[in-house]
Amino acid sequence: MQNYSDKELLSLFRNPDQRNYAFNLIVRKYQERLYWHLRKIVIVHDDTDDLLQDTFMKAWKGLADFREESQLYTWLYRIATNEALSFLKNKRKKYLLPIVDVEKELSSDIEGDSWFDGDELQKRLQKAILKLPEKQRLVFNMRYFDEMKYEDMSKILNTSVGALKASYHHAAKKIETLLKTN
Amino acid sequence: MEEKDNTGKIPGGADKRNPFSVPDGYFDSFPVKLAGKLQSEVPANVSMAKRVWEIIRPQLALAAVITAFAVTGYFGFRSFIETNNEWLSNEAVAEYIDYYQYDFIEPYFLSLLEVEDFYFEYETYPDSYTWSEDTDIYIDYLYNEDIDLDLILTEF
Repeated sequence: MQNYSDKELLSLFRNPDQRNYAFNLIVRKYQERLYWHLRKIVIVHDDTDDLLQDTFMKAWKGLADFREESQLYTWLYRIATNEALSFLKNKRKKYLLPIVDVEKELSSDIEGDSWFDGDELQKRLQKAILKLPEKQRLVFNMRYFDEMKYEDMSKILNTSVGALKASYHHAAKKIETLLKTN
Repeated sequence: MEEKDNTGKIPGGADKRNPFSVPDGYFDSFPVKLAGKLQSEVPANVSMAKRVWEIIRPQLALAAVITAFAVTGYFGFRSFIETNNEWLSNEAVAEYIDYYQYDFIEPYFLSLLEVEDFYFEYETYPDSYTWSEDTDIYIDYLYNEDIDLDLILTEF
């Protein structure tokens, strides 16, 4: 598969004859990164699969109006993040669960997940991450695992770089403490 | 320049290796699965007007139903009132006026006016004098017909 830049892909997408082909290339380029981003938020593979489909469906509908004021991948990350947060919000409403119980449920999902290959320490790390407040969890995952730049995170999460750095610092400290105590 | 901060190993030994996995061939089959779903859904690049129309269509339908209910209710209520309160109809009022027109006795009317005029001048009424209900009717009639009482008395 030829490697196209985002600009080339968007230009291809604007050609009605090439639209489907261009979108297929966009999906292939970003599906893995978005999948892992979503998976760390909702933990379960099936939920992640649904959310990834929803993310690309929204991207398909909105891409014609995309004005390239942001990068394509930050735009896609933003859609995916919003989808995941909405999913968790609906889950809380559906089961009338307070936030702590949802995190407990996600934590037990890690235990029973057949698609979790990590060792005991990684399991403890994932469970510790789930104990963080939602925003800190997002920031920690995006920074620690995806090694995303704060500037990009700032565009995706609509938060200042300073606040993100502080958020990451707090998250890392909490996780360190949790791993030491457990 | 992007700051290289404490994103290395978390103290405790856990590394950054992704602990999750996916079913075999998941990323190869995902674009095909998605393409199938997209074909059954809304086409891309639908015009903005069409999308706006799709969004507001349910609201407009609801507004139309509410308006229809309001209009039906209003005219239904009016029709009900008019059916059950004949005194409000123009025909009923006309009948009422016609009926009392034949009750009009000119000499009696003028005598009443004289009495009224007399007592008006002295600003007092004798105890024996009782105000006839007919007086009100005649005064109302003259007032409504815009007839000058002084003129009638002068001519009389």
